[in-house]
Amino acid sequence: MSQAGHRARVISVPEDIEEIFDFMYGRGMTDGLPVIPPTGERVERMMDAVSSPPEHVVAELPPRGGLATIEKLAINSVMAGCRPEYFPVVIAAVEAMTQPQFNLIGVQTTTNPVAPFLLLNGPVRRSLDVNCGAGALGPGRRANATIGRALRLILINIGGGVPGEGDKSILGSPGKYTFCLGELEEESPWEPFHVEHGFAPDESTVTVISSQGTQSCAASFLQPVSILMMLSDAMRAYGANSYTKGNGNPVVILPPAHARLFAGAGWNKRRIKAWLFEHTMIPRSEMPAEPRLLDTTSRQRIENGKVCICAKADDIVVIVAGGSELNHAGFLASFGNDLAIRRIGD
Amino acid sequence: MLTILDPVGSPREASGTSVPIVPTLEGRTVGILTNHWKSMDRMAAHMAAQLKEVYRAAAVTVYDIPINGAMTPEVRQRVIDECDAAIVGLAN
Repeated sequence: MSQAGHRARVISVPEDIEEIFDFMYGRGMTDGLPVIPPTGERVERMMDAVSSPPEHVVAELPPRGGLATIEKLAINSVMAGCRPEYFPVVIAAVEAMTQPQFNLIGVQTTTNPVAPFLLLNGPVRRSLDVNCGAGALGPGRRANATIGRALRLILINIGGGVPGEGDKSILGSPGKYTFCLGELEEESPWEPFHVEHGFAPDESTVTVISSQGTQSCAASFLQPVSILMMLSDAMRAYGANSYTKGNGNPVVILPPAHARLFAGAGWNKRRIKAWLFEHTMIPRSEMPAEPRLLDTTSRQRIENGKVCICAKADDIVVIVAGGSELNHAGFLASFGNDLAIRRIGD
Repeated sequence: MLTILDPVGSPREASGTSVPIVPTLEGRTVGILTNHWKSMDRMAAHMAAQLKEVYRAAAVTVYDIPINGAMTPEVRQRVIDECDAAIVGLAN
């Protein structure tokens, strides 16, 4: 997108850090947490990490249609606490989110609690110290915390996804603060997610997936099918929008011990996906007879009277991440839109 | 005092090329875009009846749009070519 946007307005604020936070919070510019004041110097340092000029428009973000210029993205990244070297990841994530199949206007404005889940692959995970292991979706690591948070501030301040206004989510979710991990490629017996999608192992990518939250499965079993039975039971929840829409990307996160167990028994990702797709079908007769007001029956994926979790088995995402124990596989239910993936640094 | 940069983004300025307001729906063709939520199907049927009976529209045409995004350019062009006005969406 080449049209130039305007430069950011300069605002005078008190010098006291708490008063700055009060000022910005009072104007709806934060996610409710304290922010780093986006001074001109800090924003310049952020923008120095990329070659595009400050006025360059990366995207127009719904519902407001705000112009996501390099400068505006940098301001929000500073506020989130990003280091400058994280900035190319933030830009690539914005580019991914605005791919048509991601349906960002739906993600931003829906009553669903959906948030963009950010999956990082390739060397960038190590160079930025992204947590791929124990507690990868939890607190404690700056890259995971602030890259995801920058996205949220961007969606609020540029996109207009203000809770209760542009963002009509009934409950919201913790994932709307930050929702970011890297795949633990070094301990996976399979090819990484981005390589599955045609990228080279030494390329770095960010993938955005519209996810409704996390579900843990205490799958401390030694047989692959036992683990899959527990996972499929967690996934068979037709409240998820992917059942309603017949689309999207349910995400399965296997800790490395589970992944090694599967691989040792001859299972690859494709076989896992096929098993889960088949065993997460729900007979239509087990659902209420009354059509929901928000039902889209005509769009559901139905096979032999059973409603499918998404359009096809290969749309289920299987990645490896987390701590070393043989327990707690994860599942992220899908909002029902398709994922988008971008190379970082293009 | 300290200075910071405004994080809030604004949309592009309007181009000033909005189509003229349709002064009356009488005798006109009205399009309704629906992604077929059940609620939208009910509203579309109700609006179609009202547009004909109350507003005396000559015709009401329903266009399918995706559940996961905006209408295709082809559907958009059909709406432009075939309709005098269109209802393009409703909130939940």
